[in-house]
Amino acid sequence: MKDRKNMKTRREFLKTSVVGAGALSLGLGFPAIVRGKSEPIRIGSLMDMTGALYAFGTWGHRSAEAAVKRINAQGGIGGRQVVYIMEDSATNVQTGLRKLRKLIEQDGCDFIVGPCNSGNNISAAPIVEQAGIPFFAWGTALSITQEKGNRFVFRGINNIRHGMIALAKIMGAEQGKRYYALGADYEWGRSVIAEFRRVMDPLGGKIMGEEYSPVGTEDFVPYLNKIKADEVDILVGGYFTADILKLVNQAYEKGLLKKMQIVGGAMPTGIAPKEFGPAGNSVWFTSYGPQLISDVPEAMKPYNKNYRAAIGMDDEGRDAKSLEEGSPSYSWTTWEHVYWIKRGIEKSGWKSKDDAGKFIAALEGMTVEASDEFPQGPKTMRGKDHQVFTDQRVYKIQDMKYVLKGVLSGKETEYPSEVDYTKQKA
Amino acid sequence: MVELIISQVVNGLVWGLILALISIGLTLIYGQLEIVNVAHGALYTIGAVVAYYCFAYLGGWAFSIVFSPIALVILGLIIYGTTIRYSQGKPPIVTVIITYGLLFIMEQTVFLTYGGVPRSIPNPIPYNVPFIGGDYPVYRIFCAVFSGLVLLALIVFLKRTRYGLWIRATRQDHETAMNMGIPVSRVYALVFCLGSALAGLGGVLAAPITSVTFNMGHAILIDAFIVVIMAGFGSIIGTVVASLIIEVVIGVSAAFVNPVMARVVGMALMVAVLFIRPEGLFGEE
Amino acid sequence: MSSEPSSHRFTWWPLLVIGLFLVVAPHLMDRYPRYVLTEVIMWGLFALGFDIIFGKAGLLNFGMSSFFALGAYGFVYGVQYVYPSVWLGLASGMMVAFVFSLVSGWIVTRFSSHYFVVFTIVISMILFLLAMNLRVVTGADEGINIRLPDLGILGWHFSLRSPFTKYYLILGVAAVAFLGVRRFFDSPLGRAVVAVRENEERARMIGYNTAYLRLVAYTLSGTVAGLAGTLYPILNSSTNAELFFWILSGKAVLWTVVGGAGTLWGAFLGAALLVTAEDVFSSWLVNFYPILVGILLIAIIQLAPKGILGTLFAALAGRRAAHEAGGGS
Repeated sequence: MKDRKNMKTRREFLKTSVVGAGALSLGLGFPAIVRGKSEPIRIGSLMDMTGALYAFGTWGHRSAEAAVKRINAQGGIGGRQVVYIMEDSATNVQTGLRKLRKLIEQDGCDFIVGPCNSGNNISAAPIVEQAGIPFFAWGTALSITQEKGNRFVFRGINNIRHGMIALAKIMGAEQGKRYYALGADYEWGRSVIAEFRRVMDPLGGKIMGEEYSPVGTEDFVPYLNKIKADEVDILVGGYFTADILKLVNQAYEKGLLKKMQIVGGAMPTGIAPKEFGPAGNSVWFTSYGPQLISDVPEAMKPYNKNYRAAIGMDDEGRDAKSLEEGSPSYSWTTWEHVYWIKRGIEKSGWKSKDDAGKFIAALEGMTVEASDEFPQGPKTMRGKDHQVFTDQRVYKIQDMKYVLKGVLSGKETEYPSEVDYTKQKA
Repeated sequence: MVELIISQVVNGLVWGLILALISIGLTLIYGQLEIVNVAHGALYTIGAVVAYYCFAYLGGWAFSIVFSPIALVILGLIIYGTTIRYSQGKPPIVTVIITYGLLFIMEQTVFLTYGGVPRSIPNPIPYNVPFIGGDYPVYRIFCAVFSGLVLLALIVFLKRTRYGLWIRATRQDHETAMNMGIPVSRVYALVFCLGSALAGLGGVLAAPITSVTFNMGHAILIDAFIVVIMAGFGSIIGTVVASLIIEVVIGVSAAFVNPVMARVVGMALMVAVLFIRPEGLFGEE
Repeated sequence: MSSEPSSHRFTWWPLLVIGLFLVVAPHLMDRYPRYVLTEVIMWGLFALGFDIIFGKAGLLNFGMSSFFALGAYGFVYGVQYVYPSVWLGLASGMMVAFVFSLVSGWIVTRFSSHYFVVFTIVISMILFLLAMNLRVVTGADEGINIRLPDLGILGWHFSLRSPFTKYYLILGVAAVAFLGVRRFFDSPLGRAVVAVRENEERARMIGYNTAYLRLVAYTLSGTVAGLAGTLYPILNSSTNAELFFWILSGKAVLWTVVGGAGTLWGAFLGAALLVTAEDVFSSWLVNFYPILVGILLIAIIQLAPKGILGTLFAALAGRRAAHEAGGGS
């Protein structure tokens, strides 16, 4: 009897092990990538295609894909075609880390253009360093080009610091000095406020209160109740997407925005100005790119028009077909990231992954002029921290339209670097 | 300071009533069907999305007060018929996983049809009343009154009508109810649809305040669960009382400490309540 | 006889087969599947922690993410501020999770049924809020990136940049923990834990200290989940306050229940199946994959309410019983 029982357990076990092996072997069949000299150059793209930053990711993907298409149509890079492979990071660090591995290890990507979610960019930094793959970060958290980046991480977009320098200088000057800070309790929300303070306080700004609401707050009134309308000129809101919409609408409903102005941390993506309704007339944003084609200097207009045509975006920054609000203030970055890769390859004579060091050295300190390849404008990739310096704009909503209030050039927002990646090994 | 506290209490009561409306469906479904409905947040979202479509295409948010519950009753019937019916009587954890699957499906369907970006609905009653220390939006007061009336109607429905009697009878003992000739499976379907409709109505009321996003149900689901647990699963009056208490406590503590600590205080209160009354404020045990 | 699909029914050799397979597997695989397998082993160990408290002790702990995150931070702090050694990191991460589970367990295990669930949710949510708030300590959602020291074994040094070192370290840790847990549930103490779940009244009458047994299971569960957490920075060279979020707790529940609660193996199977499915679906159909995952979850749990292994074991046990009855007549 005992023997028979053992037999059964063996069979029982065999079946379970078959199931287990089946699940694991799903991964066994992936083809290995054989590399050769005339092989195409492989650009991996990690994008927030689902989750909270979906609108950013979708436009980022469109831009990067269109840039690769344009390069291939013009004969590739040094005669080599470019392959574009996109994976969804789901606006989530754990998923993003796995997909990053997929791009590097399964798809054999030579370069990666990164997603908008800062957490994904920061967690990618050690991985791309270990793999020796240059990575282009799209998130605007300051630390990506400070202590959390490394020599393999570049950023082709200004960061929160540029954004707040522009806001405080352009808006603070005309709207008053007393401000109240209310932000989301995560790094981005806190950085927005810290950077605003950093610029505003030396200019004579006076902070009247500072609070951070937990992630997932639906009702802001308990915190808005603490703001005294006659003592505050500016409400700084460290929120974006749906949250900034909520904050503005609820502040307006409460009657706070009669005189007070409200600042959003960054231009919302996918949200048309009309969504803010009458409350919009008090709302200011900092923007990383030109919203409307009319905000682009005359000399640069053709470039921006060509870029928009290539990704299907109209002069107002909307999807040309559906007329839904797009991401003109962010989406150019991934297009330009692809062209940074092209410039780097051309300058360094990059042949394969082994030349990553040469590629990186070539990009450090590179200056580019406005062109079809860099439609947002001229910029410099600072060598020490791999941070780009370029135009930063400030917008206000007026009569349900985004109205440009001022531009600061890359020179005007420059700040000293706190790190020097050029000393690191590449 | 006194002014601030009073305005926090008032806002807590108002928001608490809206939250109660959303939470009631959760507690109703659990009390009757013993299903922990994680998909409740998606039902709330769909209610808000219907409200947006009513505003955008029918010309008025107000239509959704009628259309949203109708849409959700239909959706509720479909969900009940395809999945919930077969998960009754299974362990609670199994119902959690099934409704979690439903949450994935519904939320992504909203994402694919309605879109991934937030849209706002203009305040339907764009007036303020002067109120100590500032203004208070009339719309929120409307929401509170409306929620209160719906909750009252629900209680009357459960206490005074034949279906209400059936619901209560089935809840106490469904074997006996079946023997008495009560159409038990119809009662279950009714309760599930009722719960769905209430979630949708909550979405309708919240939409002009919070704007409409495909994933708006996440944050509210957590709040609703906290309320339902504190009330004692299945208790309707308890749910109302608990949501009022928790929102007032969070509001009042926000006057003294930072918002994160205010939330911690709210949760600590819940823990304290359960320490003293492990069956919840109004739990039946 | 109880229908408990007990682990000790296995003989030694199936373990050996699986063990051999896992030792050889990375050499048969490409880089990416190997990475996924490494990650699956880590998540499986995390889910194993949940299976101890849920499958074996019958308590639904919906706050497992706390232990995992504390383990990860414990590792990072140990390696960065105490001494750069992987072993020290493993120990410090586990210690942090152990102490936290002992303290929180002392409070929450006085409660059973759904009040236990509530407390575990609330504690983990408070921890998440605090982790996001205390950015100086945790780095909030930007997290902390670390440089991993080499792995030293008896004077030999292995670089953790090598995926093989990572794989074998993670496999080794998971294997030791898994065998330890199996052994525990074969011991009188482990059997007592299961007895309390099956019938608390009777267990108490026999003279078991049920509160103590629950605390033992809770602490073991938290420590195993914390140990899994220490593997996260080893795999990714970073940690992040997002690990405290309840979604991760939900995943442990999902993996364990789909794989088969109480089977111990099920935790690993569920993690393997769902992580792979999500990965394949999302590369295949970017915008539709959550719908596919949802349908998959509902389908599996409808067909196999006890999870894949749980249902399989129960069916086999049923057939054996029928066979034995038939053979007897």
